[in-house]
Amino acid sequence: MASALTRPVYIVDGARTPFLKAKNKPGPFSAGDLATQAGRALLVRQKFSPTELDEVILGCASPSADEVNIGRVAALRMGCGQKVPGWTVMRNCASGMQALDSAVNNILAGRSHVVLAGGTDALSHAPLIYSQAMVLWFAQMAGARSMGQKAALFARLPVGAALAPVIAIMKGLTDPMVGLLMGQTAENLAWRFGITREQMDRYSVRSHQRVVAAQDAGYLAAGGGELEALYDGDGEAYTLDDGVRRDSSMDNLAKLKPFFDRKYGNVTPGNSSQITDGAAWLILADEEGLKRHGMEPIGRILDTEWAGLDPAQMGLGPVHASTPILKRNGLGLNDLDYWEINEAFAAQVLGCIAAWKDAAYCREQLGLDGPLGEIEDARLNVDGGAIALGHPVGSSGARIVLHLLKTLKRNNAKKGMASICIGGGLGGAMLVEAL
Amino acid sequence: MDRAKTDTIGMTTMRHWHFVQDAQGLVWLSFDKQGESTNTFSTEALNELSAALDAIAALKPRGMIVRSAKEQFVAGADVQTFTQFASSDEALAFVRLGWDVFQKLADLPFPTTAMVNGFCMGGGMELALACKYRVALDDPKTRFALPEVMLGILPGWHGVQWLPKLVGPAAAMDMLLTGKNIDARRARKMGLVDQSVPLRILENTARMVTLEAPARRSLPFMQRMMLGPLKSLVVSQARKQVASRARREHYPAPYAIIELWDKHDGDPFAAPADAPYSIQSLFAHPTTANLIRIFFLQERMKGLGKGSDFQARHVHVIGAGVMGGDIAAICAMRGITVTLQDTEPKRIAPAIKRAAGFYARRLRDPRRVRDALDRLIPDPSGPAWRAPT
Repeated sequence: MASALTRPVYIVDGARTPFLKAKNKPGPFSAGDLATQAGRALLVRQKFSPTELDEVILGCASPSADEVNIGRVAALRMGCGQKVPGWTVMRNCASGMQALDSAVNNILAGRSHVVLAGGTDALSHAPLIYSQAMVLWFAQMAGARSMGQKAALFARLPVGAALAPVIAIMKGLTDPMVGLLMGQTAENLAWRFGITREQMDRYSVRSHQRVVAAQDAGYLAAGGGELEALYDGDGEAYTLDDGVRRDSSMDNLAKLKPFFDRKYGNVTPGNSSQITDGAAWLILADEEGLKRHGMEPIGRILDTEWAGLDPAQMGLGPVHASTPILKRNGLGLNDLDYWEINEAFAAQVLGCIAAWKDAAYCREQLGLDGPLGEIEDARLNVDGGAIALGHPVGSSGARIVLHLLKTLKRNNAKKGMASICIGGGLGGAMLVEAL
Repeated sequence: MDRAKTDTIGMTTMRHWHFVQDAQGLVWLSFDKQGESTNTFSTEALNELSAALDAIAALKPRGMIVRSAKEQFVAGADVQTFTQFASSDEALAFVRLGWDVFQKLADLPFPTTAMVNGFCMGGGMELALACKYRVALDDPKTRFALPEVMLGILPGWHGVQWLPKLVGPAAAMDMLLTGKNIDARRARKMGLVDQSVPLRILENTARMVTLEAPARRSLPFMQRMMLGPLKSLVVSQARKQVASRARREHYPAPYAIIELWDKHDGDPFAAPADAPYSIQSLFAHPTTANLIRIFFLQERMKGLGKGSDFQARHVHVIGAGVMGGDIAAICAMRGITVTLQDTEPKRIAPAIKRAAGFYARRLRDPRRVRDALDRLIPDPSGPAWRAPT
């Protein structure tokens, strides 16, 4: 079992791009573009030069084929120079949080003193994958010598396979062990804890309304401390998370059809997180790193935990990852000022809340004596979440830690937990303290 | 290289050239202008080249590679020389010297290759044209140009004669009449060079091309027609283009280039001395003196920065209008990290668009365009050096 950190690891600053909703075609920025633009805006306001970083760690679930080690690509593009190592981590939906934890580990090991860590993904750029039949056909074509052979192969072109490539993102969102779409694992939780379509939709409206309120208050404005604008080559500046719907309502959401368990299910695109492009970064440092550059931290990471559970119930990952941290630190659910639980699905966040209230679940799955209780609504995802903002898989874990710290600072609060469910049956959680 | 380099011919020591013959029988002739960082052609450098070519011809080598011992290939004729001519006869004699030496190079009975490792301007380009093959270093620093027209004169060392035959009259006239430079990839595409390769295989490519001595590909049909029956059409088109820019009495050089090519196939010595397109007429024209003066003023301005070792790493530009945005774009293109400040993102976005277009035209290579754009950092929040809050 993991334990609380042996010495302090500080967070100095952070920034993210606006989260841009995928619009049925590749968006204006690749995952590398997103990471570069957010990172350079963050680095340029630091007291140290990008070349003085000890390393760059980037989480990414689906880097494109031409930037597989996207952490290194981003480091070079951000001007960190050839000598700063850059690498990439992948833990599906928690890749960004994994990058932070990998930075924590290298700092604790004494290998690094100042690290740039974060996550990025451009889900709108997910490639199309040819089926095995087409791959075989291409291979035969490459081997064909004469025009006659080629003509014969053309006659045998598997037209169906050629015109129906698999969308890589559907593969990525299907659990390889149990064969369920992520949305179907959310349906499992809804069935298990009796969560209704109405409750899911109501939670989704809440998410949109809270993001709208945070935008109107300026917390999510470009240059407001968390977001930095994106710029394309066509004269456009992107300054806002554009997936949020100001007109979101129970009536609107009720019109949507169940997507994963078609017709008879309850999980719709409206009460699920959106397919989105975005990147988020944080700068982590130890005492020596702070002293070296005369930096003031905004917070520190107190503890982290990773947990495994049934892939078919992956949405309860936050429950399994957060509970050991609470136990280790002698904390109850509401001893924390704020919580960020990534909103993969409304049913999944509601499932987490239900699990902690469920005596049998707490006893059997978490090894507790009884139910842990219920997180007060005013503490949980106070500025909305991925249902309204979108979930660029690799970056969400970093985004919720960054946003939690900004929320704590803004409210002069102290401690908070950021937690995320992970496709494949994992959960990650990070306990932070604002300074 | 197996043998020691030769830098004496008979009793004369060469100051600007040396050559060696390797085990495969190839001669490597290096231009290494004494006491200078850049290779330029002076009378002495031309005379030495002539003597070196005689000595090399006597060796009957399998082939010869002409290269530079400097960071760049050849900048051209020494413009300083132009200003020291006492008479137009002296100027003409200098042109004659180069004309004859380059003809001698072109007449060598074995394969010759110019290995171009950087800018290749004016006389340097004509040196390369005198060789049968050209191999270029694929690098942004490699640039080909015939900028004589910008000094009010014309390429008098076969440039007007040879370039149209090599790349076709359309592309040749474009280079001759504007003086603009092109990079190695473009040069490869238009047939000006036979290969454009990275440094790691530059020497080997020059060696193998010389040994293989491939047959020259002929020009596309239309370009051949434009050298023959359609030549008058090219001439009238070029005249129209030139006339739209400047009048003959103000800027005679481009008109002279067209006429010299049209009437005498680019041979300045076939032109009557009193013809308006003769070298004597161009040298006597006040525009030429003024353009040469501008050249020296520009050189002086470039030299002003040389005394300082200040290297800007970061430039902060306030105001992303056309002026501020373009200054920022040029700084970022030069490798400097730039923060560009204005009141809000949408005021900076147009500057990024302009920069993207500018880089696409100037840098072409998508990776270099990306890197330059990455260095150009919008900074709507203000002084980038402020401490984080």
